[in-house]
Amino acid sequence: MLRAQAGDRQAIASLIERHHRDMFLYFSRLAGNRGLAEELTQECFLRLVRGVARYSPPRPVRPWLYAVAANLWRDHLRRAARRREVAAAAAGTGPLDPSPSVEDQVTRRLLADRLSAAVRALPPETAQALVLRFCHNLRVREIAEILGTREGTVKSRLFYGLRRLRVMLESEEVAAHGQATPASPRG
Amino acid sequence: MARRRRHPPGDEERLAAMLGFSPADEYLGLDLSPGETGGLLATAETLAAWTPEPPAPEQQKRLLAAAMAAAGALAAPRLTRPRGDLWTVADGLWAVLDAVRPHVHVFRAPFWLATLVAVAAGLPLLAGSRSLGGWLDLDFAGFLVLMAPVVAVGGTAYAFRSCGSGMAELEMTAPLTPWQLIAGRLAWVLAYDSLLLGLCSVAAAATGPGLALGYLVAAWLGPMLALALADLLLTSILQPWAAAGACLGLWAGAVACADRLPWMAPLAAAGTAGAFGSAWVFAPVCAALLAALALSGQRLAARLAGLAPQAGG
Repeated sequence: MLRAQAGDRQAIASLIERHHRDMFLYFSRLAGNRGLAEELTQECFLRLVRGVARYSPPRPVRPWLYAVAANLWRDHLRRAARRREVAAAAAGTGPLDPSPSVEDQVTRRLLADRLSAAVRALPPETAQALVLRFCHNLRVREIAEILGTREGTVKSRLFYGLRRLRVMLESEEVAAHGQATPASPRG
Repeated sequence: MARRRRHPPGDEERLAAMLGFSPADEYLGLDLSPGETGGLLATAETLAAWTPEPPAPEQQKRLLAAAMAAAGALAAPRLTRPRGDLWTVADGLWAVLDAVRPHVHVFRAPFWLATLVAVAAGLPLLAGSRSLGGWLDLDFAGFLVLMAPVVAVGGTAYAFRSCGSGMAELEMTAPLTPWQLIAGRLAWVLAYDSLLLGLCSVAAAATGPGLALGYLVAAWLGPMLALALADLLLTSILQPWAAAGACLGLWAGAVACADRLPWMAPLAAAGTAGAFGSAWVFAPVCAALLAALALSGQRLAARLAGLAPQAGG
């Protein structure tokens, strides 16, 4: 990072190589759309390049980068809400990989689609906290700093968000099973 | 006291570890059923194992090309607007207005509510004191003069509370100049406070004993601007809340000496002309503070970003 600050392009390139996958997956989980994830990942790294001179060395790079990403995601949601954008297309639009069994892949993709939809249905700050904690393994303190809130708030979002996610996933499962069997008549 | 239910061994601890909680954290006191603990654990594990398709190598190539182009286009790192730019008044005004917009998220409920409560609670208190024989020796103008700097200083301290934090650093990476950042936050504080106090002034002018609206506004506007700017200036050398404390101390001293200071006339209830007099006193004070801020702006921006002030800056 210090070399990148000094304008070393090779250092910038290695920073990108090191963190590109994580950033892309972060946006991909939140957006559920690869195209949008790519666009936001690119913007995130461009901000990194523009702001690299202002980075203060003792700080770890990863949370800083996630903070840029979280801000970017918040901006995107604000813009999307203004444009009344319809929620982006579902995840996993690429072709299935031929190596593992097709059944396995379909099951995994269905689960991923359900998870993605459920995460997107959560309040944005809760979704971000859950993704940062469970998928990117950041500490509560780091998440609090990234989201600009207190640790207690992050803990509460994690716990109640996880609960809500569980309920959503279970109710979808029930709905999916319910579709296969005729519903019992009421009254 | 609720009896703890029996959980499969280790489930609670595993869930707490996945959530990043310590064993002392409160959620354990919610007395989760073993089923719920297991369900949450399963959801957490599903989430942890969720890996969308990774980026394609071409994506990284495109990104690297864009980043290298951006790095090449960058001039030497700087914290101020480059010299030689076309800096018209309209351009500057638009830049500030544009800078104001993204700063809404800095202000959360505590700011909006605390200011509203402080102002809204003050007026009935003042009215109550009058009906009880005026133990609070203030008129409406005096009340607004007393209140305006306090809410402005509190708001400014709140706006810059994250000085030096990761969030502040993050905002410095946004495509805004440091001055836009500073002006944006200060504009939010002053706009909101002015709106509240303006409404109070309208209400007081409509119902009070013959106080003109212009008189009321002139009475509080000067002290509010001056103390907010002084607070911002002090924030370039002190922590935001320490700067606010120093400013409020200064203000408390001025209030205590109100009857001996001619520019505190509205507070000392010394007559209608005093408010306009005080406005003229505060105008050069504000101008001097703005000049001092312009000189220390780079230092303040560096502090806002969590950086040590640059040598020679």
